[in-house]
Amino acid sequence: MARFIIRRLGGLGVTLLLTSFLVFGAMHVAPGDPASFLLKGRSPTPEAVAAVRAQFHLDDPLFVQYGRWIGSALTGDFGRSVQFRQEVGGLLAARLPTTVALVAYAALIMVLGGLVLGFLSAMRPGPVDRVILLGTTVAVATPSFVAAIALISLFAVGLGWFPTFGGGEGVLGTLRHLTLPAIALGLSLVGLLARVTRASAVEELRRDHVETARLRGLPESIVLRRHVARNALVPVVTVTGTVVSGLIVATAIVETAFGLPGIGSMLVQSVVTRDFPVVQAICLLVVLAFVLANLLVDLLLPVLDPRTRQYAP
Amino acid sequence: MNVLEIDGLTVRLEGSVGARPVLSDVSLHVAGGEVVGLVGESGSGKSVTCRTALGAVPRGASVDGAVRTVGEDVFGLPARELRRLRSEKVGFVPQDPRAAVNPLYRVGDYVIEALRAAGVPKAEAPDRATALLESVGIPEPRRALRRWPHEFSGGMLQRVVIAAALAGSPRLLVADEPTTALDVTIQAEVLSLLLDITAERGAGLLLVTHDLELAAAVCDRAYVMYAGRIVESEPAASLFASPKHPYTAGLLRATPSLTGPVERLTAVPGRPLGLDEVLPGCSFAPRCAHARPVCDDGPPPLLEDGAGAVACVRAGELAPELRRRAHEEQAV
Repeated sequence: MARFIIRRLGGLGVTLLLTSFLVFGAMHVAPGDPASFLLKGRSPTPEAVAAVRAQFHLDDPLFVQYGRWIGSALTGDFGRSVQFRQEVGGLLAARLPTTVALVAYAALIMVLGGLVLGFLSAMRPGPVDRVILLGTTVAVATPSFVAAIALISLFAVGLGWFPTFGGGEGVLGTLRHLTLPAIALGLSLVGLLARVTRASAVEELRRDHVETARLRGLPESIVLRRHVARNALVPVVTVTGTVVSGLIVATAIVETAFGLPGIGSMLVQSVVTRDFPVVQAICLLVVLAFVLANLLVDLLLPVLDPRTRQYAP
Repeated sequence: MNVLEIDGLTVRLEGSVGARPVLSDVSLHVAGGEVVGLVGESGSGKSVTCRTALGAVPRGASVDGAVRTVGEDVFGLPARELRRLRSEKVGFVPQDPRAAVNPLYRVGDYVIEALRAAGVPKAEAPDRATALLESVGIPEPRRALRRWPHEFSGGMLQRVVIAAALAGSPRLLVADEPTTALDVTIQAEVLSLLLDITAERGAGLLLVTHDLELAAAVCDRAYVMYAGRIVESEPAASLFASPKHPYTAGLLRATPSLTGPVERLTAVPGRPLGLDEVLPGCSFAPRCAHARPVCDDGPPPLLEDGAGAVACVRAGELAPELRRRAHEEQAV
């Protein structure tokens, strides 16, 4: 087990290194130039452009720039933001808690809602199943920006139950400010997870071992809990892992819509302003989250399904 | 005393109005200590029949007739009592242990679950499970409790399933093709284990199989099913020596013999009747070499004949020929 984790962490390092180069390279292939943004609104003299390019080392070959960047990134220094003229590390650290709280909140809504609706749907065929199916179809088809607009106009502007803007103070304030964004973020995924859970549970209900369990006279509560729900969880956990890490990317839209000071809205601003150091750091952060989420799923699956244990090296 | 009595049982699937019922007027019984075979091709209704002994019918099916298991009218029992009947008085052994055991739990959990359902206190369950595993010949039973189903061979896992079926000290065991999914080399071992423990406990055994020769070898009596009806019931020995129904005779000729010389096997011609096919008379008539117009005059009743019963209107006139051909085959 320890060897398995160490090997996976080694793989994590290699993945991060490769993606860091891709991210870095992609930024430089993209059209636009930080220098022209910095000197926006003025007609720059060639000297001024040259000075800015020299300050941000934009004239060095790509590999030299990458080497310099990754070298300091390894020591925790992601450079200075072109836009904010501050250390990227500090900027991110200030905004990360909001995003982490938002993602955690949305993940909680997604997992609770998805599991409850999915299992209910599978175990109550008929009207309950059909209503849930219809609801989850609508939810899956609702992009987070549409959900955001609908939620703001209904609960924030119309009913005034929740604020429309900002991050809030303290635990309760944060919770209040994050409720609508978390719902907007998690809604379509509640639908997705409910669908996956339902399909998985319906399949398990048809299994021979479930029929056998009933014929053996086991109480129905045990049949459903131990032999249907538990087995149905295996694919659900896999899907949840990938989807939760995808939530971090989706915060870009929701944080912008709700004016939350998180790294998602920061990513959008930074892309618009060609703030390369910030975009690179956030991309690496997202990759890190994906790899960690997958590692977590890989560690969890053998706990859920003993048959996968013999394959874990 | 009979531990299973099925009387005039007809089971019709949902939405099959007009089509043939899965079971038509099936009657059979199993006495305590008796081994009874239920033989037939796939789709003949034998699995449905044996599940009704546990009070289980296909979802949405309509049921006529009565099933009394260990003295209880299973279709009249409230859910709670039915569960008690299943966990305490009847043991069920399914066909494929690999599919019947949940792969996510330990071997011991499968047995302990059954013991707990039968009302054994939590503290005693592990010891009782160990004893049960030992009684079915699992080596190192205490350690086996902690192992996983995928670490067991099919034969060993079927032993675990049999051990769990014994959790409630059942008076009746229902085994649905218990050896079909196993390697040929261990089929005999598992079957003899099943027979031994049934005999030891004086329980009745309803053994569902498609293997007529096997049924004849190990059962006291056997019922032959075709298209949802019982077409013949006999003491096992005479079923083999002098089949009275042309279908039984056909099954015998289609079975390779271990003792006789190698000869060309004769398949029963045609195919089994589909559930959507309704015939006015005998269901077997289209495949029967002895069919006459009289066979289409309504379903033949199951009439007593010597120690058994047969559902064939020509049984009397055919008996000498079917007996001769069965003997011929053995003599060749």
